[in-house]
Amino acid sequence: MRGVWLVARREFAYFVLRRGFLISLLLVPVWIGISVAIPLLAARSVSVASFVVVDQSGQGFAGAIDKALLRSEARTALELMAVYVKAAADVEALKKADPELAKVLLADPIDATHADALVALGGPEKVSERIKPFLPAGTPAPPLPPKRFVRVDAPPNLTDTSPAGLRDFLSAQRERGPDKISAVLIVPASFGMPDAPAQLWSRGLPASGLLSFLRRVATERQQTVVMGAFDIEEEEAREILQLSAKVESFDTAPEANGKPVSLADRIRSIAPLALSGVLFFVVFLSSTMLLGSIIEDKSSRVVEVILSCVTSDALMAGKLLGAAGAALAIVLMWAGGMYSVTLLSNDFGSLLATALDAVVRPDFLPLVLVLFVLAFLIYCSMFLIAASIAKTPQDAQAYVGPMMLVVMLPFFFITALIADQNSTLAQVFTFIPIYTPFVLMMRLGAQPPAFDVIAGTALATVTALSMVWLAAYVYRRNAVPIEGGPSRL
Amino acid sequence: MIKSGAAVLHLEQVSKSYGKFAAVKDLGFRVAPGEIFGFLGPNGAGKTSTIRMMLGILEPDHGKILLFGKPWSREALSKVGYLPEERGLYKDMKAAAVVAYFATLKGLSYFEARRRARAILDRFELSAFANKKVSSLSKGMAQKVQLAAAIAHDPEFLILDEPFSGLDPLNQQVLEQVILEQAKRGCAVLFSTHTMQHAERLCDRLLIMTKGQKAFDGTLADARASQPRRIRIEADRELTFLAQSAAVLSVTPPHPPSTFWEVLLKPGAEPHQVLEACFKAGVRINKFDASEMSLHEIFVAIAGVDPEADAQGSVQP
Repeated sequence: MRGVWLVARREFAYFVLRRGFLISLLLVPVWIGISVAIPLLAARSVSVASFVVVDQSGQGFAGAIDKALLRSEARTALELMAVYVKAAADVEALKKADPELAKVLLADPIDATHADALVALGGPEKVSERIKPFLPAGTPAPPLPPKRFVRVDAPPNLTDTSPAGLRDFLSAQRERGPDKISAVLIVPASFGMPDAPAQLWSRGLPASGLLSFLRRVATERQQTVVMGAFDIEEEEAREILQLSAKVESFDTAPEANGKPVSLADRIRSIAPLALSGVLFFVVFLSSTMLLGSIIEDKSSRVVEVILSCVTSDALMAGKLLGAAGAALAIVLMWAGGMYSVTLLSNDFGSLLATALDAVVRPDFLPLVLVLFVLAFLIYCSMFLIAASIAKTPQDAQAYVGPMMLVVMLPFFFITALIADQNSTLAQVFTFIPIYTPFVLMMRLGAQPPAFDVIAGTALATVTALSMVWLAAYVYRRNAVPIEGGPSRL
Repeated sequence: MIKSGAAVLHLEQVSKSYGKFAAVKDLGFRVAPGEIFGFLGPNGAGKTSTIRMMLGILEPDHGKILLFGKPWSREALSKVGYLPEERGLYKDMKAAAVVAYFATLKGLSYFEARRRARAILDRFELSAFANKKVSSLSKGMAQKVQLAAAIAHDPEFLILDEPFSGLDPLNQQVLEQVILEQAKRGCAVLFSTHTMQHAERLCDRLLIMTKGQKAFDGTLADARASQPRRIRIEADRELTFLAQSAAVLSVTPPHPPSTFWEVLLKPGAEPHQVLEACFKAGVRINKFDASEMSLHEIFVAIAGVDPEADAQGSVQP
């Protein structure tokens, strides 16, 4: 037992002090950070897209687009200001001194009527100034989101709306730099008829989101025109269009207490899914580290001296324990990092806290730990067998390649598995032992049938024990390569 | 000082096969405490397989292995030190740490292992490199570190598989000194080598294996006694007539570039009888060498191969 412990201790140090381990440790948080930061940076770096409307229909498109742009900008600004106010402003003072403003800023959820209210209060710039007295001294005014689209009046030189004329006009615009007009919307006289669509002309693809924005405005405009034909006033039409029926989701689970499904509930159901992905990464990482360790022992011939001190079973057990320690270290460090973020009193912190609460539950955590251990044993044993029969690092790579294809199979079906975690496909993968731990863990948020959980866990347990036995057998026979001899299975 | 007593190692009719290939066949021998035991044989003779069986890395198919007078057990290995033929250390570990690690695996406490690792690296003039990673050491230094790892726990039985290979002459002297020191304190040392001069200088007893079997087991004197007495003569004419002498077993003409005739004597015959026969025949003798056979020559006679050529991989009868 002492030998196992000594080997495990050395292997743990070998794993955690490698540059690759530190890179892996940082990889997931960095990856999450990048996936959050890139859209934000992309949103900030988007240049304003100016466009022109040539309205031949006489339906007042330019004015409708201007109003829609105002409302859209107001809504984006309101969402940003609401977060800012909740985090930094003296909310109680704001409620007392400016209840009208407070009602708009503290609305939850924010909808189109609140955006309209913001416009009625003078627009984002003026509201930003009204917030200032309620912010601590020295705090800057809330930031305003950049404009994405601007409608400009048609310049006098835009006379020819034929394709060739529009090409010449837009080509000439390219030389104007940031003020250039990048698109032209032509609304034909017979707009509304099935064969008369509005046309958005641009050189290449239009600015991201512009087409869908204009399509939405045009639809609303047309709906308003149709409603006008039924003597419905424009304002009434707008109210009708903004109507949003409330349908709430309820969960029959006793712990839901008959309350509607909230964001926290959704996070709770997604958390096992995310956890399964994270644990797959950790198990895969520790398995490859184990593979590297065994290959290094063999190629450096140090294994022969070690085996003159401890049995091959003890050496293997020590290596497994060392790899398990490294895997646990990664999980604990990530969990610690997550916990630190939860201490921050912001939305992201509370989201993470909800996710962490969803995992650290007495009815959930023990099963997750069992599945994690089973996944670790199954995958480490697979890699251990590959490393044992390999004579060189190149051999090991040749074995690992096809193994990876098999291991990654469920990822080809990930969308279907996420969409319905209790589907037949999910059940099939649950009962393929090498996938059982991850697929079962993934399904835990969707309350899978008890039979699936019990039988799947039992199957994975039997598989894990068999794999460990097989790995020990193969390792015993191949730990010390016999010169010129074949690998022995 | 280690107490004398039962054989440190006793093999009884040990055999090991890899598929149809019999690597070791019915091998038996003993190693006594404090003895330096030469384990000799050409490549493929079964030496490394035998050593691996002694260490439990391989299991014998047949036969018994006793360590320190008792049936082989893993516990007994804590008193055994091992330097394998294929040297290897953890390259990312520091020299002192790797020596201490192996010592802890042999049962020493962590602090005692660290203390001994420092002391032994100091003894090998490597204290300046104790905190350097093995990967940064020269080949010679790494080999000394590995030797240090083999003896840091003060073993009672030291197994060295080709310990001199790859060492420069200076380090070969250091290693010879270490072997003598270990034997002096009562540790039995078994080593295999292709360099017969080392075995001739160091070994109390030796065993020669060929094709998985024991070909000789005894002292150097026994080995010499097992071979016919040999005389080498450089003369002005051919000496085939000596074959008629009652003292002579065989006469072999010179193999160029050598100019010496080799004459093997019958048991009990003396060199002066050959000298007399040459004088009677009027042979003019330039050189007459009646010195004893070297271990190298005995090895060639027994194993049928030149050990040094064998070590290079070119086996010559």
